[in-house]
Amino acid sequence: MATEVRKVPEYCYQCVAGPDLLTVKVEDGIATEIEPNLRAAEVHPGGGKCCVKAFGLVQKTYNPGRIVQPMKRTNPKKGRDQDPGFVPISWDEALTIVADHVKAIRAKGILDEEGFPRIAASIGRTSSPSAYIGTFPAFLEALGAVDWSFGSGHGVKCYHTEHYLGELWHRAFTVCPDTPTTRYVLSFGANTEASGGVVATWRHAEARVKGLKRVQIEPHLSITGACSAEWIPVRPKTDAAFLFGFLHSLLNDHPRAALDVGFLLAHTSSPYLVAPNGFFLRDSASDKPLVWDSLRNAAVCFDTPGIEPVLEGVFTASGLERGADDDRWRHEQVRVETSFMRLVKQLAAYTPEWAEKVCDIALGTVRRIAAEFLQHAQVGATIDIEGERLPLRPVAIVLGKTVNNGWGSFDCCWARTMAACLVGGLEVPGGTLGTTVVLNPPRSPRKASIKPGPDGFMAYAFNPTDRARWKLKGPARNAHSALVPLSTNSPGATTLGPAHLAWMFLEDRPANAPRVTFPDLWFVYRTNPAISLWDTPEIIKRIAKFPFTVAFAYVPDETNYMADVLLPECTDLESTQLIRIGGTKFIEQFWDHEGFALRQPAVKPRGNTRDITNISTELAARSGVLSQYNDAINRGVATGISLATETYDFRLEPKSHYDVEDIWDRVCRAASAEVTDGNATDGLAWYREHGYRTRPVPRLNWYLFPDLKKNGIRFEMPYQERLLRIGVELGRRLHESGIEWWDEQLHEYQAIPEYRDFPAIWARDVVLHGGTAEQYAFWMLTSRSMQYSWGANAGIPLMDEVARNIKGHRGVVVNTGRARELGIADGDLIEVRSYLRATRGRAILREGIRPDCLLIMGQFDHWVMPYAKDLQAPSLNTITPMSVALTDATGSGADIVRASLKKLASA
Amino acid sequence: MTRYAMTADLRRCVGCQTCTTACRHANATPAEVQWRQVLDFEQGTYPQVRRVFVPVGCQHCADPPCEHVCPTTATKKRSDGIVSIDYDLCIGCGYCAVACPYQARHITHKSQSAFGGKRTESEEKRFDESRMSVATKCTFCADRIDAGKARGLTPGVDSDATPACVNSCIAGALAFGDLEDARSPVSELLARTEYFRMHEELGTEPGFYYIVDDK
Amino acid sequence: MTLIDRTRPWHQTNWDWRAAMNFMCGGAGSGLLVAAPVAPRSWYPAIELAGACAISLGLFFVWLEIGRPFRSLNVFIHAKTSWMTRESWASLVALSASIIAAMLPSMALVVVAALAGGVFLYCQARILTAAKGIPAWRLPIVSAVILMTGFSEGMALLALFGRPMVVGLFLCIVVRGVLWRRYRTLARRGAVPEKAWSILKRYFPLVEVTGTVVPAVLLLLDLALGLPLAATIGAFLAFAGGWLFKFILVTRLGFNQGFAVPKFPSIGGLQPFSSKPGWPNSR
Repeated sequence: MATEVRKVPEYCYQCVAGPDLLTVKVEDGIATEIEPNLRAAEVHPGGGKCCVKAFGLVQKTYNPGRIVQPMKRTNPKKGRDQDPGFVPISWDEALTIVADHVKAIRAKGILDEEGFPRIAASIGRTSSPSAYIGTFPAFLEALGAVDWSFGSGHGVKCYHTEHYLGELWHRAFTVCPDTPTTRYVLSFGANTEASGGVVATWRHAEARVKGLKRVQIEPHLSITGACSAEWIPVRPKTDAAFLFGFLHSLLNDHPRAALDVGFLLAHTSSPYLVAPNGFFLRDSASDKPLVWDSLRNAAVCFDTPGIEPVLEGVFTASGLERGADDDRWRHEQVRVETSFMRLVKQLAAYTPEWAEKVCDIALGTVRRIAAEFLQHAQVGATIDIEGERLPLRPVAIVLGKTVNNGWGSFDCCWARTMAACLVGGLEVPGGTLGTTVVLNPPRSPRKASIKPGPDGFMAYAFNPTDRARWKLKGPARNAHSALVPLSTNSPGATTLGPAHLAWMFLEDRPANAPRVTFPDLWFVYRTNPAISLWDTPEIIKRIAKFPFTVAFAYVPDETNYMADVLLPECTDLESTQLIRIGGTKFIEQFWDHEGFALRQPAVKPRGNTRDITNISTELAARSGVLSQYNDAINRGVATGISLATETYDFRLEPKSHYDVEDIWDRVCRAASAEVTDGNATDGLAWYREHGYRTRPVPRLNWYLFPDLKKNGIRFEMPYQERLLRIGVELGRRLHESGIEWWDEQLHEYQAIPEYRDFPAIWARDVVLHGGTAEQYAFWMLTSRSMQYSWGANAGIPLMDEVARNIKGHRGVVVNTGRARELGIADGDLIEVRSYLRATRGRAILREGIRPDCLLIMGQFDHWVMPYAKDLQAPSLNTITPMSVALTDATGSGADIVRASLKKLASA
Repeated sequence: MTRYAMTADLRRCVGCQTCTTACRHANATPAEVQWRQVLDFEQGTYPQVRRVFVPVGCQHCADPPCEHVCPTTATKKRSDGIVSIDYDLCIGCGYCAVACPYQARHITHKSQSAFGGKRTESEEKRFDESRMSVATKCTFCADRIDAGKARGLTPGVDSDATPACVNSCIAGALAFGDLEDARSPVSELLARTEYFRMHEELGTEPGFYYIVDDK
Repeated sequence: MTLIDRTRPWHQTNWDWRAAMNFMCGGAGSGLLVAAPVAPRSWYPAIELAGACAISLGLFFVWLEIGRPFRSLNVFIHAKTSWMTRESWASLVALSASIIAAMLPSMALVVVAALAGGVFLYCQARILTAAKGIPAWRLPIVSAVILMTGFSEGMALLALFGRPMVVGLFLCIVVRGVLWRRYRTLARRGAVPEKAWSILKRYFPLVEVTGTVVPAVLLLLDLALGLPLAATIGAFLAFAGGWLFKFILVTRLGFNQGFAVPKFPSIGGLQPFSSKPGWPNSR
């Protein structure tokens, strides 16, 4: 029996959908149980619960495979076939080795001969440095310039395109329904119940029993599909066709009055007049876009008071048209039409019947879904939120991975946003909402990021494409600033950039692309691109060429196998960090409170592991950047809260060396002051006891519409004049630089998207590599489960154990009927091959998958990580190519590959 | 009289296995022994297919076959409806395990770490020799219920007197309480919903209700 | 690691060949005790001893299987409802009676031992039908099957001691054969999970030929033509068929109930679905 039992409040932030609050039971100094922090139900919108991953934290702590002593490599050769020969060393030696490298680099200059930072860093989980890893981001900030290009999956395997376009159109880094009030959701492969975290799961469950109807449109019946009213097994990568047919039906099968015409006229660019060259017709004097005023029967500036703009029509008007690179056309009495008119015309060809054929779904589906959507939209309804009357539009559309990234995602994101606008359901109660802002700070509250931009739209910090400012060679190896204007140059831009391009360009540089160098020093924080990117055997070879790699290592893995120094740091239950909670955040975190929660050492660190904050401080001191490091912490880098404002001052002295507890005590005091408006300054001890501290925030913060309306800002829908212009300019810049391998991507810069045969892009890629579409007849897909969505849980036995209760893990899901045709039985060993190579696993026969698709859950194929290496689970990443041809204009690919299927052995 | 029962709202359950892991933690069951687990059902033929997640475990039957067959009286039905096992009486004959139509009983003869090999410090701390080679199963967290009731708490309402799986459920799918108390969470739920009990045709009178719709 | 679908019935893992040996040895031994009164008086000591040994051997195998063998005496506690407890008590009586009868071979004591053996055998039969979690065992007909199989084995084992009771044995195996057929019919009609049926279907011809058809022919040959060797061989086959059936029943047909969802949840107004994976007509 335990003699001393404590329950220690913690949070879990192993995935982007957190943090969630919990307690850990500690018996005689040993962590034994994770429990939800049900006291937090008073503020936490998921009932104070934590998800399945949190329960893996105990095994994570006591994992016998953990690295608990600093190590250095003794084998100078690197590669999968090279034993690194790690030997234990002291912390002093380890930190000295690393700091000496840093100092040497700083002495040489932080940028290399190609202008790239000599130091690169990659981190796992959230790609959000301030959220998880102590003060390490402050150390990196202190170094001056660090390249975040070498991603592990984020940037390309996330909701990449949605991040950019979502922020452009409604400050929506990610998008979700206003679940508590919505009644009808079209979900294109959004696996909310697997990856939406506790709050999304909680909200959707509540909504389902209250009658929410969700239609899941995806090639396989996912976990979320199981929790939906209907499954529509759409052909992969044809979601855009479905959405175009759906829009067509909304525009053509129903009277215009059934749509929210008032919203379209007042809050979108629908009435803006489009001139002959495809750009807005503008007022010559003010440069403002013109609309047709039915009262004056004339074209007037869109913001002229007292007008009645026309939604549809073709008119004759005069004005200025401004194209790319400031090309200007003066028009006198030319034929112009409204943006909405352009929309209607463009979508005329995309009939529901056409869409159903492209998507390979039952006839009548698209029209029925459109009618249901419109019926549920309750156009005209209102709701009072905190005394303010807002439109109520309880319908939403959400997109999942491989729908909102990679080819076709621009079209899908656009159509999703357009559909919401047609019924006035964007950023209003019940409708389609953004969650948070990353590229256009400030992040919280989201409405604070609304800044008036040109033409009545929100401002967006595009990377420049004009001749004077565009540069082929940018600050990062992933070329995001040169190729992806939407990626912005905000602090998070590099991390979110097209990660695979950096990896690709190291070895396969297309014609006239800038030379990409290996960084002199690469920090890897608990991330494993050798498993989680694509074409992983090739990635491993490139990682092996990095000259000096420092890995913050929890267990040996496939990436830190190539490291030169391993720094073992404390895990969740051993370390200290204060984190912001509440407000609004992805995936569906919508709180009525905001504040801070503490992660604290519930147990002593295992072995000779250290808190990442202490490691960071020590590295800063030894690298000669302590004052810069302390300054960064003072500014809120890494902690998200400034240590000094007008009302309080808890700053660190620049030259002092602080312990982890000192630092976080000051952060806690600042947090207390912020939450209480300066009335309290409780420090670490208070948070250790109470776990979290919050204050109420208005629910109106959830919705952007009221503030947009107040500021007279419109949603930039339907017509993408800015993107059109940028695309033309980017094309010119690239061609001027001799780059033609991005031409296909340039087609994506359209004012109103034109459907392209997206599946054919993959078929063409197969042919280009010597195969045929028939040879690789299957679409290999992947899907997430809650056990393995983020979290780096592949080596945690408890996750594996319970994940096996859900079909699909550890094997390859094959349609039952198709498998029978191929003589494959449940449990047979099968091989799935792309034009790159093969992966193998056990066949799992299911009816809930299209006959032309295969599915692998999660990301596996480990060969170093303890426990995970014995799972013998297949991996999509092993066989998926990295390819410019498969990269869309936002620099995003998709987790999908054409594959063949072969039986190797019977069960 | 008291009759404790659990409900699982299948409209809410997402198969996340949080309850499974919470139970593994709360009851320190050995690796691969899941007193509570959530199954993944699929029905139909492509493209008309449905999938549903169903929590299972001991159903705490009113007429438990396991109790009838147990030769030692180790398995007993308590006056509050909870079917319990006295580990000191049980001989591990496995008869209860084959008598249970819900596959709820587990007998573990060899305990090793989830990682394989020697038990970790945390596993060692929780290891209970008395549970080796005897039948084990979901207890509805009877120890929590008893301790909570002794403190005047209400099972199903107060978390300290409520089964760990219910406390942990992130979809609000699981509920617990006294069927004889009309105000308990389970009674209130069952009064306004449609439900079934699994394998009801076997006459076991399960104390586990699966909610499928509103009335 | 195989990927097991836990929604559909899988074979129970608690009772293996050791448990089967209890039904085989115990059934044969108690059957022998039941058959003893019809045997010549001079065979009594040997029969009684053989019966006691067989029952003991069966119990020994069970003892080997239980998790806590040194607490095995707790098995006697729950006579109120547990057929395993009752079997244990019956075994004590049967063993005592048979050993006494072996030492003092009187008809009265042999009859007492036979009755005790019959009770023991009945308890064994009820043990299986009370195992509600195993559809192939819980069918009521299994009691009759186990009883008749035990009787048949007992009658057949008399051949160990001399010329078997051909008519009695013939009648036993015919009745047993009819019961086996009936059991098979019930299984075919969906009383057991698909996998249990597919295994039964595979093994049944072997069981029927070994335990019923060939012995019946051989016994008839003896009756018609006076071929004692045929009767002896027939008896051993009848015995072997019984063991084979019980071994298959315990170690191959012991698929559990699995799980079922008689009604799928209503999410946004869905058509009714139900599911009972691994059972006939489940999809």
